[in-house]
Amino acid sequence: MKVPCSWLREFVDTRLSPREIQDALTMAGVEVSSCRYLGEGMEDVVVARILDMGPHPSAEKLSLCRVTDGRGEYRIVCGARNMAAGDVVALARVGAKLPNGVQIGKAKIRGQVSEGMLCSEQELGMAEESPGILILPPETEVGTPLAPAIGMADWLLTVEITPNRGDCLSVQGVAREVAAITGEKVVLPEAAIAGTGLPIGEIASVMVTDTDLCPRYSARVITDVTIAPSPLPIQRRLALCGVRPINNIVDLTNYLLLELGQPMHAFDLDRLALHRIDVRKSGIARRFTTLDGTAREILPGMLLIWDGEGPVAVAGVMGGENTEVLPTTRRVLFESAHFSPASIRVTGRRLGLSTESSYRFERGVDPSGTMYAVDRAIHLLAGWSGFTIATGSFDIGGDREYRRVVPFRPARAERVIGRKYSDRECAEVLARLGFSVAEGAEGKWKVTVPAHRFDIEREIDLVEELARLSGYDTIPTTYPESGAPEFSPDDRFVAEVERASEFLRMGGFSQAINFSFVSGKEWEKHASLLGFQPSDAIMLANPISEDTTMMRPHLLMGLLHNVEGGIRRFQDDLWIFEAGKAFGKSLVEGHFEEPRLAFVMYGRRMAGNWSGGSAPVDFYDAKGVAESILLLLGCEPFHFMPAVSRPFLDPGKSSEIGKDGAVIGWVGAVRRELLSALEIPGAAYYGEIRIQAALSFPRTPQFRAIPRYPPATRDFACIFPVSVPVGDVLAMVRELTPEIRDTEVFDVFTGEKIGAGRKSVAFRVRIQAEDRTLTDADVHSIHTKIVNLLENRFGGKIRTS
Amino acid sequence: MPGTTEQIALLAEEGLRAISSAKTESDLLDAKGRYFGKKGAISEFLKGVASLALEERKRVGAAANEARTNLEAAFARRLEEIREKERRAREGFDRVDVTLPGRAPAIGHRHPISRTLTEIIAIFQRLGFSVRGGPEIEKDYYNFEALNIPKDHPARDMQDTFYIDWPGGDLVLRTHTSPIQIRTMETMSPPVRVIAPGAVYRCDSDVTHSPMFHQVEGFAVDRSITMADLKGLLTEFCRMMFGEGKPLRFRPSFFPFTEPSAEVDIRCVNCGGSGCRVCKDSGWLEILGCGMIDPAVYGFVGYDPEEYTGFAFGMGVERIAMLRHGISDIRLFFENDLRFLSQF
Ligand SMILES: [Zn+2]
Repeated sequence: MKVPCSWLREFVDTRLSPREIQDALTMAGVEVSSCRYLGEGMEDVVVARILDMGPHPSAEKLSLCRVTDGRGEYRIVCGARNMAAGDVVALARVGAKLPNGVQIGKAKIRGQVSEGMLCSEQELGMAEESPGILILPPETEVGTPLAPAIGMADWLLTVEITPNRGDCLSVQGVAREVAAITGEKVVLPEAAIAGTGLPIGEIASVMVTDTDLCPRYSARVITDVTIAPSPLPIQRRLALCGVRPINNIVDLTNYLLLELGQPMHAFDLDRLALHRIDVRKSGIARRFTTLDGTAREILPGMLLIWDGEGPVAVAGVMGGENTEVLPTTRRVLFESAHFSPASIRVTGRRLGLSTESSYRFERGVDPSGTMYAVDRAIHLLAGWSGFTIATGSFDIGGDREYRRVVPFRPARAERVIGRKYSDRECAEVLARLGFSVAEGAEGKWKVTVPAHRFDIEREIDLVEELARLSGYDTIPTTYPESGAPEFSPDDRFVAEVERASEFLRMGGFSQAINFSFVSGKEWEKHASLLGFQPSDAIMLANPISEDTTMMRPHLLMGLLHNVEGGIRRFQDDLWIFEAGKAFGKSLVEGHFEEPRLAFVMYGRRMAGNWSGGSAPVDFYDAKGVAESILLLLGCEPFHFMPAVSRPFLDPGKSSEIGKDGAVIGWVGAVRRELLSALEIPGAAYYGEIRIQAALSFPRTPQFRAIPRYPPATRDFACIFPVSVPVGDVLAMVRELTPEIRDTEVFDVFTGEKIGAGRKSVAFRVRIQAEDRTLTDADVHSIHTKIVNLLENRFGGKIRTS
Repeated sequence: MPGTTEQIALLAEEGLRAISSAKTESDLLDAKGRYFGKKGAISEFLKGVASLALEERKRVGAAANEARTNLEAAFARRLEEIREKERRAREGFDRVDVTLPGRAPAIGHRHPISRTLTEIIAIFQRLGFSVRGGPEIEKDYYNFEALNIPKDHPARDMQDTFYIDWPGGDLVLRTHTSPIQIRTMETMSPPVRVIAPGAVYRCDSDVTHSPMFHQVEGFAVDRSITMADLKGLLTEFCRMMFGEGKPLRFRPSFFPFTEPSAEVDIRCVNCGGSGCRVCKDSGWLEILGCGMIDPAVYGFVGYDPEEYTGFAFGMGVERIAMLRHGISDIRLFFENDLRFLSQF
């Protein structure tokens, strides 16, 4: 909200400078985000008159003007067309620097000397754009500095009002805050009027049917008014606050809204059927055209203003086209009311309509100020034009008490804030706010809060007022007493993910963070490849773009897009990981979300190493990474098995990872079709681990005696059918006898030499007993068992050479 | 038969010849074994003189010792010569270039958001807080209602919410990690001290707003927690996060679930307070919001507001990372361009 300082000073004659006002308000919780001198850059611009003007001899779009600033005459080349001889204009002489940064120099334009510039509102920083140069009222005194002549020798505050402080959405409200801070007095502006016309009851009637949604409704009628532009200073103030001036009546209601925060509406009384007003809910759905010319769908229950025939306004939101003030209007009914905030908000939201008025009603408008606002409006108008005021007024709900009594204990403030507040300080601060305090027994006070402070209902609200107005900087700095330490499994989760992330970083991976929402369109396009059922997806109801419509079912696509982006940026080796959640529907909870750790490997095994690192990554690189992460997470025992349900991975080069009968992850080559779709050449390998399933409670290692007797090793080279899983072979070898300590594969190959459909596997077995040195006979016997197992169980053939 | 001392002299001479003609370390070791090792010729010779008279044995023993000392010295000299020669020979072709890269995977890079998040968590863990997580798809009740943000209240406008397309329509993407406050307090009695990190979502996208971003929420409830404690804790946090000598200011503000509420500003890290583009000429940067937990919130979780007080605070991780690393466009965090990531 914009507040001109000159307007503010009409309400509080404060000793603070504009900058001091900015700081004081900000530190009291009413943030002033900008404080700007409006005449900035106009110092060198003066009011001048065009003596005469003619065409530029060599440019038909330009004209030559002779202007005077009262002392000298200047020749100016001008590109605008909206001026004429005799006009009063803004002249920037040579040497001036304008608010938009333009420096005026003596120039030759198409061969003609120009000794300055005639300025437009845009060039003066007064408007975003302007059709021509600024033409001032003819009575403006030539030769005076421009800024004061046009009311721009003023400061403009931009105030950010939090949703709880609806009472500050006006010049008066901000002034009250200034006064509460400084202890100065707020002036209540003049509102005296005298009704001399017909009794109001003879020319209009007002009733409120739904008083719960409209507790107060105040109105007066004026007659014999002439619709005309409002005075220039009023128009300028409205413009500064971002409101377009229209005519005296409309400007007046807008001016009052900005000044007092009290929305007001002006009806053309003669367009109200039966000159009647009723406030009641709509019983049926209907169409109604608001004064912006839009037909609105009114739903049953929305509060409307009615005349004798039908709706004339959406209460508190916007008036109707059917009763707006026209140039021909002679009799006006001014109304100011209080409507229930929740009702206005629901109506505004359903209609998709937020106005200056509804914005204020939603946040709470002072119900005690409606009649005063109407009187103030008519008082102001009296200074602009002549009219007659009907005798009397309507004021439904005017006799009600709108102030609130709130209990308060100074001791409670100390308990919450951690600083001593004396009774005197409490009373003084609350008084500055205009609250009246009744100190009671045992430190229990009763504080009466004026009606405009909608936000003060409970003791804690008063504690806040006390704390903010005595200054947060007066609160000491202490440290909380430490409570009992609390164990949370999430501490461990965070630590384990951090460890795995650091491991991946050390292993050459960089970390990505992708959006959790993905393009539903893209996923649907590749649904079968991605193993994705559109019906299982969680969709956003209001996505911000086409690319973010659906919560991701797994992390693959994000990482593949990262690879794709890298390739576009000429990067050859892309090892990327991400820790984030996957989402989907589930039978039990309806939906699930699950933390995952995923990685993609694209490019060379040891990127950029000069010494044999340029082989491309393969399945076993990716599997190794997955294994290491799982070991790090303490996931043992786990096992790798051929992937059956991961269509995004190549079935011949992928694996699922099992633990306790559940799939805890998968790893393998990304399907060629997917890579092609993203224009990724070559192979990419992917792994994804379900972190919660992989995290087991860490086992405490148990000591086993270090073997004292020497080991023996035996190497085996064996040819198997290609389908034999080497992992299974070795597992069974290890289970043969306890003396077999471990096995290690040191060579695997296929090729013509051993024939199609077969593979050669060489491995070493370490044999060691805990209680004795093994004899040659012992080792031989174990060797024989192993050979028998390889040949009989797995169809292996021992290679002799 | 020559005298025994002469024989030793002869053996010593042979030994010296063998040493000086040795070409390699193993030749040399061989010579040592043959002449003056434990089973070498001199030792063997001494075994043969055991029957001599004591006087004679002494003489022979002295001669043998002298011969051994000489041989040892010659051995050591020759060994050094051979090694030196080998070194020199090797240097011609078998020398490392210490400036070539070692053989190890190139180390990757942590995402700056993850780095900042980890740091924030670590600081609060040291200050006695424990981590709690919560769902990102959240019930309206936890994200709004129980945090004192009723339906049809203007405070809902403070956060543009993503709704999940769901029957009943009461699921949202959480707009802050504050729901974890409610979830924690529902299941635990005071004292609680928790930080809740995680991804949050708001319908907003420009240079300083991302539809997904990260937050750390913290809160503590106990019998005697005050706003002064909140000031103390956050002052300590900022000192640890941003370093010494960065003044803070606590400015009154509004959040529906805290009262009194405050925004915390830190002296602009870019200009030091004189005013610049980063701080919009105010000299201050807003870094977090905080306040005393509103009694209305206790009503939703069954805490007695007369017995317990507590505070809560929340900060945007992206905002802090942007300030610390001098990043001006939030969208860079989610493009995952290695040219960006590799700077961290
Ligand atoms: Zn700055």
